[in-house]
Amino acid sequence: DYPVSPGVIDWSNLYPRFQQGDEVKFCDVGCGYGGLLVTLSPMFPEKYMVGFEIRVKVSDYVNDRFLALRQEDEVFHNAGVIRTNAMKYLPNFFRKGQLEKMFILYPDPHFKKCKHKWRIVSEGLLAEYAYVLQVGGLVYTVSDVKEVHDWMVDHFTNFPLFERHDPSEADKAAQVLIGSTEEGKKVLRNQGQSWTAIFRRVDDPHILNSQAS
Amino acid sequence: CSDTQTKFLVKCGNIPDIPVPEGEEKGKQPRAEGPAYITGVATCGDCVAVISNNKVVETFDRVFQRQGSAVAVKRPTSVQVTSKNVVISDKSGDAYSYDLVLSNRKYLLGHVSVVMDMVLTPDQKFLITCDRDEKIRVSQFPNCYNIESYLLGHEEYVLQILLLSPNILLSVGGDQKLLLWDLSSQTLLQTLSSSHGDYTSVTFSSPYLLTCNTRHVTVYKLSDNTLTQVSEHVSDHDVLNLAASDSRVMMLTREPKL
Repeated sequence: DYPVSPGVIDWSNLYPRFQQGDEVKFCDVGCGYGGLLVTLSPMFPEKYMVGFEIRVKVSDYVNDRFLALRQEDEVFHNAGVIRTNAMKYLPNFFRKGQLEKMFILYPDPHFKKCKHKWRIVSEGLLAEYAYVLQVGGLVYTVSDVKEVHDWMVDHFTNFPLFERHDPSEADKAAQVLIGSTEEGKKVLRNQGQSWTAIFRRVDDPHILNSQAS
Repeated sequence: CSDTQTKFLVKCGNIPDIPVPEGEEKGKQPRAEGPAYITGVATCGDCVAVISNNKVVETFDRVFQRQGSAVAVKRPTSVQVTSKNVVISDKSGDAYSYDLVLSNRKYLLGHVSVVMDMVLTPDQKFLITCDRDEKIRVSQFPNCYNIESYLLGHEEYVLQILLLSPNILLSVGGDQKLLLWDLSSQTLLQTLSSSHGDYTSVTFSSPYLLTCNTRHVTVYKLSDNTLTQVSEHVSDHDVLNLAASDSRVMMLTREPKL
């Protein structure tokens, strides 16, 4: 399910070509059926990427999907899925500042107020996302529910370690956020709307302020 | 601070009816299920902070004049005090700070599961919290949104954490292990396991660590960042709690009914 600490995971169980010194750099939190990873894998061949999915049947599907894809084309060796609870176990998988990119695509809205604490974006969890991301690392968010998009924007921008980020033209990941997932394609088919927002992990202003004074 | 070595005689017992402070949101009332009792105490300088099972937090001065009171968001699990703040952790996994008269509540951090124990380093630069999901989190203080490190090694809930020195932390787990950590290098120094079941009480009175597994009491000495066992004792009765001072050990036991 999850390792005791990042130091004891053998990632080569997930990635056939994983070497000593390699590190996973992208994480899709709640990767669903794996659509984003399938799109990103050939776009970033030198990067290892992992999806976390809590549903057993869905993560089994993604696992099978990648095994099948790799049989056809070895280019998919750098992507995989782990069945786990990302809300609880991110620090078990990643050391401080390990990730370059995190993806939160179409998260469960949990509309009821009593369920808000189960939302994947909360003030408490943002500290953990900031911990596993390197300074300068990016979080990509998408939702087809405006209220959820606004909630995420509000939480990230009010959090001292994140700032809203405009992706450059060269950011290939930003361009595939909506079209690559099963959720996103469904929204497009139903002619719904998706909202995206990207955030950059920044240095702690508290430390910068106390150094200045 | 949170200096529990100071010579306070702490009053325990039933808490009389606490009036809910003006301005508290509706619904955040103290719970009224049976007698209220104190579940945690911490002190620093002139301030004594007390948490109780009915969500009430109070601060007093040295002569027990109440300085402030508040109804916590959720049932508090731990309390720490500095020269300027009272910090509490709660059963939701959140930690809040207040000023010394318990106003200006600020959200500090959140675990996903209950925070079972909490310590502040003596230099007040780090707040350390441990939870039911085997995690020990070291956060900067007061900017607790900035996680310094995680100390990961337990395989069950982390029940208690104690600072044995400014740089050495001991953690007690439901996995029947005691883990000794070096905070500056974030490494595990030593693992002690119990062969007598769960740890029911762990106390440190420099340089001695006293541990108890129901009836089995063990004394360790800390030197050179290593714990070495120095003696053992088996009690005739279940030991509820341990305390040590100078050269004495006190055991609070449960007499079986005859």
